[in-house]
Amino acid sequence: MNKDIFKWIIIGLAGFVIIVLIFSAGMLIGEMKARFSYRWAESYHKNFAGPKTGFFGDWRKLPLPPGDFISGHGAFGEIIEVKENEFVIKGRENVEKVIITSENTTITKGRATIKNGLKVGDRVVIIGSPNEEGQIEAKLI
Amino acid sequence: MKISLIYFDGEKKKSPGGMHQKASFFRISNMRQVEPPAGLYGRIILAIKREQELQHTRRLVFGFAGLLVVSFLAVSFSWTMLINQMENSGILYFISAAISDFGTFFALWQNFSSAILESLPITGLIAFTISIGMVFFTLRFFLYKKNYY
Repeated sequence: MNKDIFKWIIIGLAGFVIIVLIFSAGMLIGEMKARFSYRWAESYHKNFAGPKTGFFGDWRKLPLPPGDFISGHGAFGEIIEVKENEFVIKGRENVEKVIITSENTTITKGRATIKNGLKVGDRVVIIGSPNEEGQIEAKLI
Repeated sequence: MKISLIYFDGEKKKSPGGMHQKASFFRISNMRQVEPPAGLYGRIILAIKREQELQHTRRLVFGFAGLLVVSFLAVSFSWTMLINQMENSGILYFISAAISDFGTFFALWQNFSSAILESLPITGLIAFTISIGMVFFTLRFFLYKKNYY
């Protein structure tokens, strides 16, 4: 009898810990996405030259996509503009993201590593980390 | 409990006026008590029980079929939702990139983990898990009830 009670207490505690961990992970991920979305929206004028809604639109409204915050550690989509150390991709729901590349960025195509092989129209997957200006510093493309 | 059946002997009888009666009369005086066949009570009770079980089974089968149809529809709907969300979130691209080169994945595991976690289709996953749980619950409930009856 005592063993059963002890077993159920242990199971209950373990379940509680798992729920707390999942909840904490959700909070952490949500916070990361919210922070990147905020910086992306705050820097939209600077990154993309002009408000997303156009100059005659409601410029005070945040140009966030409907439904969800934007992911800051991964991106995928089509390259729409290439500059010297950065390029712009258009991902899902037509959200543009500025991707910063550096000498630490690995660009692979299939199994081969390439250099400066990115051009407009390419479809890419990016793994990286967000910076303070709402851009993604790419580590792997 | 003892059951005794009363039989009535019916016979044609002439009325005092000499007219024949067409119908049989039950004569109370001729009533005789007959013992029922052995085990009749048990057989009656058994038949009632069988009928009750049949009703229970019918109700269970119809309930189970309804629940199963609903849960399979829910699975189908939630699966479609999950696939759509996975395609839109790009999680498959990130997982594919991680699998294709384990060296890079281990070097950048924090970024990969964050990218995958950020793109998890939470709503679809929850809906699909609940609907799968419903199917298992329905099957288990049916099997349990079947054994019970």
